[in-house]
Amino acid sequence: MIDLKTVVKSFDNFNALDGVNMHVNAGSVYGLVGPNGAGKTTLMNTLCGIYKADAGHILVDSQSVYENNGIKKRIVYISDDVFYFHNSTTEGLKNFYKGIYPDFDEQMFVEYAKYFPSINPKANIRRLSKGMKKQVAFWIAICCKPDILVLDEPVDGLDPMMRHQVWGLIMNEVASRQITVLISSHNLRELEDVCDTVGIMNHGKIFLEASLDDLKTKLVKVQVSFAEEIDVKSLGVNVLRTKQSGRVYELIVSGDRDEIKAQIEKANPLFSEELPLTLEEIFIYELGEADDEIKQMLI
Amino acid sequence: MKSNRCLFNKAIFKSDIKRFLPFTIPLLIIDLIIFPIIIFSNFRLPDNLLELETFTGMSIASDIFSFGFSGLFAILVFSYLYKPNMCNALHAMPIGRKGLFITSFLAGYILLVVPQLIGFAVSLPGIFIFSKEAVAIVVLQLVSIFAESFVFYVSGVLAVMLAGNIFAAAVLYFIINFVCVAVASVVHLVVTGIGHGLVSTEIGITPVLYSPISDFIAYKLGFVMSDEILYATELVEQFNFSNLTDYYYPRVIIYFAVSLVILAVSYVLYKIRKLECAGDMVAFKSEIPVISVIVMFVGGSLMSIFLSLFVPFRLIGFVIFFIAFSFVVFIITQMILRKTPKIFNLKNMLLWVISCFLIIAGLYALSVYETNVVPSVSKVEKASFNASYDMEISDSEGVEKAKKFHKALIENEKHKKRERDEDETFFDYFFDGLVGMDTDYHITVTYTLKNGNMLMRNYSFDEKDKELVEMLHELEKTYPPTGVFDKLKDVGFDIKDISIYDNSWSEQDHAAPVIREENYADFFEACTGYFDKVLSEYVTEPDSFDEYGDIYDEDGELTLFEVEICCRTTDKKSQEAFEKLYYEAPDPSGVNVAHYGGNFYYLDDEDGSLNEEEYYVTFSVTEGTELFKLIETYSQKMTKA
Repeated sequence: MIDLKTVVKSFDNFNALDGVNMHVNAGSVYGLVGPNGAGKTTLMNTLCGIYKADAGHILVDSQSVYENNGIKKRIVYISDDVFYFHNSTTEGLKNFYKGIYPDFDEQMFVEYAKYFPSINPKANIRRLSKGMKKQVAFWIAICCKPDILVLDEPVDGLDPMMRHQVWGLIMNEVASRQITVLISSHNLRELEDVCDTVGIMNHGKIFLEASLDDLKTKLVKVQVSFAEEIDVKSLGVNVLRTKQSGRVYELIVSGDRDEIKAQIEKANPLFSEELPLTLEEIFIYELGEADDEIKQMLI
Repeated sequence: MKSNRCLFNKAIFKSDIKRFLPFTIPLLIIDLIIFPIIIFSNFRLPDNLLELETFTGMSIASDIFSFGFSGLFAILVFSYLYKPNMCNALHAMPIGRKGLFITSFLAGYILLVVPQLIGFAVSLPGIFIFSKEAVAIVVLQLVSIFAESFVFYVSGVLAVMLAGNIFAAAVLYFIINFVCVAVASVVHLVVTGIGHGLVSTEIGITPVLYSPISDFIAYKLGFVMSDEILYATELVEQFNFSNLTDYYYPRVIIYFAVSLVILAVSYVLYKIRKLECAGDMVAFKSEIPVISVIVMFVGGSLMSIFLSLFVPFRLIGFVIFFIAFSFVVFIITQMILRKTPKIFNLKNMLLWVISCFLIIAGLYALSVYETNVVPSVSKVEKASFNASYDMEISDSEGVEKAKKFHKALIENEKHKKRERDEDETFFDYFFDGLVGMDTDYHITVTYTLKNGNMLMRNYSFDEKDKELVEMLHELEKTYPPTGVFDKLKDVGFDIKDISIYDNSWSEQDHAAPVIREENYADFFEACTGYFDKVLSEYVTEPDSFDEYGDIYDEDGELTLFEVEICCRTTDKKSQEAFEKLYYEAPDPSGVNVAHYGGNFYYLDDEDGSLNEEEYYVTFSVTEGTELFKLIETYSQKMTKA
């Protein structure tokens, strides 16, 4: 669906994107994670055809995005700093988007009003709070019925209730229309529940890009207890991290889940239990020694 | 919107019109006032000269408002380029840059032109009532005003495309519109300042409110839109439309054509513009050195030439001041444009050094050329010398002699130097150097070239310089100067109507004695009589003669700077002659009696109030002229008596 091939974008001799490669499958929810200044917003602006890449290719369904209205009408972008005209109302902004996006669903706009009860469509957007402005942006963006929804720090400023509401609406669109969603955030925990694929970005590069399911099958977190203290190396598995409390060990091990279990059983533990891995733990070990800055961010 | 070829987006257009409509209201009010006045003025012109002034004034007002609002609307409709979130959002939408450009451009132009159209529509009934025959010319006027607005608007769009924020766009709009005039004026000002014998009025460009594009056209093609409007009104008088095809239409087409080229350039700039520049001062980094050098040149030169006027070593003074001020202006401009004080790098310093050197070298070379230029005989149609009289030479032998004298004047001018008197203060020495020496003989050399151009130079030399005086006398013998006071006779009224007044509008002025002699020598005899009265009033009411400056110096010596002679007539023919003189007067610098038609007064005989029956025209006599000296002589005689 979306392919970025060695994309470079520079600002005053600084490479904000330094040869980015990225692939987003149709219908997936892709989380782009990275610290401030990693290049996430630049990547999104370039992906949406706002910035012209200095080098490389940005393709959606094998077509270039830049100055391609046919592709751009399938993409809706909600930036961190929400766009609205000075003195415009939600109603007015809706009419504006209706004139821009051919698939805009006015009926849907009316129906979805119930999800945004705090928004008065006739009120001046300028007077709304930051969170309410975000709600307006989501409301209108969803009604544009895009194939690709690009969200830059989407729920920043929303209260927990509204976050839940907005994610629900987006997931509903993903489920019902198989739209592709690209979300950027510096908060990995926020993406954990909604993304199926995650890309880790820093210094203008994507360090790691993988499906969460794949990642989770590669790593196992087990809590195991032995009658005596042991050397974990003797277990014959690739232990990435050990946390010992007396004779109780918490191990993060990479490899095949069944093989790991079998190897641990051979050592006759008093008990053995698999624990759920958080996304942070997965990425910390996947990244290895690659980037301490990212690790710090994830921890 | 639905394809890559979308050139117009209705939603954006509607949004622009709705958002910026309030800005058209003041323009509409202004146009509703200005347009009817301009248009109705056309039909009163032949009989009423004041209407011409009204018309010209309204045209200029129209230009000014058109200039202001054109820039405003260009900036407003493209202001989204300067707000990062709005810029990004609009460019993420399925509208190409071409569509955005065309839509925004049209929205701005509609907002600008519709008030003009409404103003015109309101005036339309009046046009038919006053003169049905002149409808065509009024329509042409409208076209010319549209053309002018279009030029301004397009230059505004160009400024917007080059700028990174609203402030910079407004500044660039002014820079673009005035850069040609500013650079040309500064070049001539500096060259005149550091050269010898040069006349600043030779600039040839009137720094009025025209865009650089129109000024460029004016400079290159001798075409200024407002002149065309005036020209069009003359056609109304004559109902002669035959010249329109040859003269008027092509110029309007040129205006539109040049604007379209600028528009195309603006579009290309929009296409290649990097949107991440939103908020910067300029859209393209390559603009920074260009703008820096232009601002440094204009700013540095103006300050330097002003200060160098106060030092005796003018060229060296200019160079020293320019090096200092150009550096200051350059670094300030760089800091503003780059939005950082960190501009002190080798690249920038090299840019300043090279451009500073080239500017100084270029200006010096130009001043040397202009100082020494003497046209070849084959190119000269006529050579004129104007001092206290006019002397015209048109035969090749005479022109050769004139050239020789001219070259001698140049050499004298280059090496002219006055020793400082022992009791003279340093400041007085400088000041005297600025205004010239009392004993200087002032002369203007003018060549009328066969290609229609003029070359004019001003010189002064010491009356004691035997060589130069001899050369001048030699010329005078062969080409006797034309009458000193012929110009007064040209006025067309009898010399008996000439009197002198003191500008105070006192009873004494109104009862000024009439001079009844018919030659100028007697005229001055008569002046003496009048001076008797005037000077007696000086004594009794010195404060009432402030306009003349000091009449007497501390030692009681007469130091008249200026005397004004008033010519009065009630005769209709003389009035017409006044008007003729007023409008067709030659360049004042070429005659000894200056300030033709400086004032018009309509005086009532009985109570002194203004009416339309009597005419006064004031001439002033310039210090140092023969007339001035004669008056002075008679005055001194009278004073002694």
